[in-house]
Amino acid sequence: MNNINLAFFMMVGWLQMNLAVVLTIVVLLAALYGALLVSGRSLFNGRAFGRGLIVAVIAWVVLAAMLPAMTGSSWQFVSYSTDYVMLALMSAGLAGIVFLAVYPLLAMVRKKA
Amino acid sequence: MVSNPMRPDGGRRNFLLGSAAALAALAGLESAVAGMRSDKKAHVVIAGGGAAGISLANRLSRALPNGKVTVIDAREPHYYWPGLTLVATGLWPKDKVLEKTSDFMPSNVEWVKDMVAEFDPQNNAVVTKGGQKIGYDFLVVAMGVEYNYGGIEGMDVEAIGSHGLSSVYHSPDKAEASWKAIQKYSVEGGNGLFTLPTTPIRCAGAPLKMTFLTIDRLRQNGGLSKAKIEFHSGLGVVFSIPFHNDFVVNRWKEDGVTTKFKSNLKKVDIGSRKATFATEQGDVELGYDLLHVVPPMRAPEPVRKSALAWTEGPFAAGGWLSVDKDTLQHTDFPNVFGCGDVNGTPRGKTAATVKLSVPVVVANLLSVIDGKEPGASFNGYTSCPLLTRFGAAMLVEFDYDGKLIPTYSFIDPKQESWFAWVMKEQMLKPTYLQMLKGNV
Repeated sequence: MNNINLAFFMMVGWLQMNLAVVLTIVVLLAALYGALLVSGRSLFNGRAFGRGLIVAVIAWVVLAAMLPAMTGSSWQFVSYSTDYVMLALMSAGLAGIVFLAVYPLLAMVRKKA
Repeated sequence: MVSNPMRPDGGRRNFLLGSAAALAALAGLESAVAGMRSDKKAHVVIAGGGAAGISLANRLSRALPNGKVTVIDAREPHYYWPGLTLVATGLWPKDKVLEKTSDFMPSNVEWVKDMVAEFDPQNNAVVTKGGQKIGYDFLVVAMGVEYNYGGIEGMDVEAIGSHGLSSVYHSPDKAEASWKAIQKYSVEGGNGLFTLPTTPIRCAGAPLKMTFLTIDRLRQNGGLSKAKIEFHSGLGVVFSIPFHNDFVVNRWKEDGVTTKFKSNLKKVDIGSRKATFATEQGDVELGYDLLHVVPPMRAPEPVRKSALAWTEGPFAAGGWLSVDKDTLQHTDFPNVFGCGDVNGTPRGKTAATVKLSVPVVVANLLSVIDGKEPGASFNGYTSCPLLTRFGAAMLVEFDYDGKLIPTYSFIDPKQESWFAWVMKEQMLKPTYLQMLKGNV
């Protein structure tokens, strides 16, 4: 429980310290989904979802490759199982944000039925 | 003073305390302490408003709704000490380690902007530099350490940053100035001397990190082939955990660094760039192009000169606070506790030690306020994110006995890794700030 509490507040603290980035992403996503709703298209679009997933998987791979350098390190120091798992999880989280941003764009690109 | 035991007050409080006890058993002290309360009207004075003082103030202000908490400290700037190694090696700007005490001080505590000058534990009072006498029911001493640069003959902190002189410890300003000296050295090379004193020190990994990261800067800036580095430890080791001591010494050997043991910096001639070390074979004078000074450390003067300091044993020489290493209660005055670097306890003088010892002090203080014996025990937890390169670290966590006790079992304390670096560079400051708020 202590460890869960610690992890929770670690994340809360990290989000607070990076509030400008967090707010920018939230505003961007709100604008994209707002535009999707205003466009009159359905919020649920299977084809856009599938294509968004493909984009997210590509982003996941690219981000995983770039993340060590983005954190001031390099692949040289990605050294054992915990590193690989954390790298996969962190880049998956970022790829999730990419998916959330790309999905409304793809849904809006599709012609109205 | 204190009339009622700490007790539940109604069903909700019963539930909270019951939950807290259950959590204590299930999950450990930190979570349990968050639910602990006392209705007493006790007055707790916290001497010192650093990391331990602020964290205690936040937790106690919630735990003593009818009590009074007074923090005595004149300093408005709050330094994130664990980040100074990154400032002194050019990775972080100075601003990143500067915080304001007022941003973390809870509004319902009394903040006396003065410094404790004298302790009078027989009369339950402290006297401030301004001459104010402040009485207390309970006292927590959290005054940190005193850097004794004056203990090194010829040392002048104003010269840090020039004449090849560096020292990460003094302040963010001097850490930034140290980077200028290290940056120049990383290009030009020459003789580099790194020191470790014989006294207990704050963040015992910092002198090692400074050495590792300077080597990496030499590697990056082309000075490594022109550099000759020696690490002088006043002790017989460079780190108290045998595995990591051997790892560091062997890695340095691979990097061409010579480690000298029982070699203690005693004198520096800044103008002629010469350092004198006391060794078992007598004094040795060495010229340098870069000298990284780690000052001897001791308890702040008001503690050292009070009845609260150890008078015998290994911590008497530094005048460290005489506390029981398990309960952190004073050995002679049961209404006095110690927290943080000032404690005369083995090993830990780190922010991580503060993080886990604050809940112990709060729990035991509430017990004593309640008229009970302190029941919570501190295991000596401390942590050192040992930076070995820019981009790699080992997250070493251990207890009083030197036993490795990783918080997360999936982080191997014997493994250099990228994730440990991310923890140090990205995650530890947010955690530290949450600790100040009393959340972790």
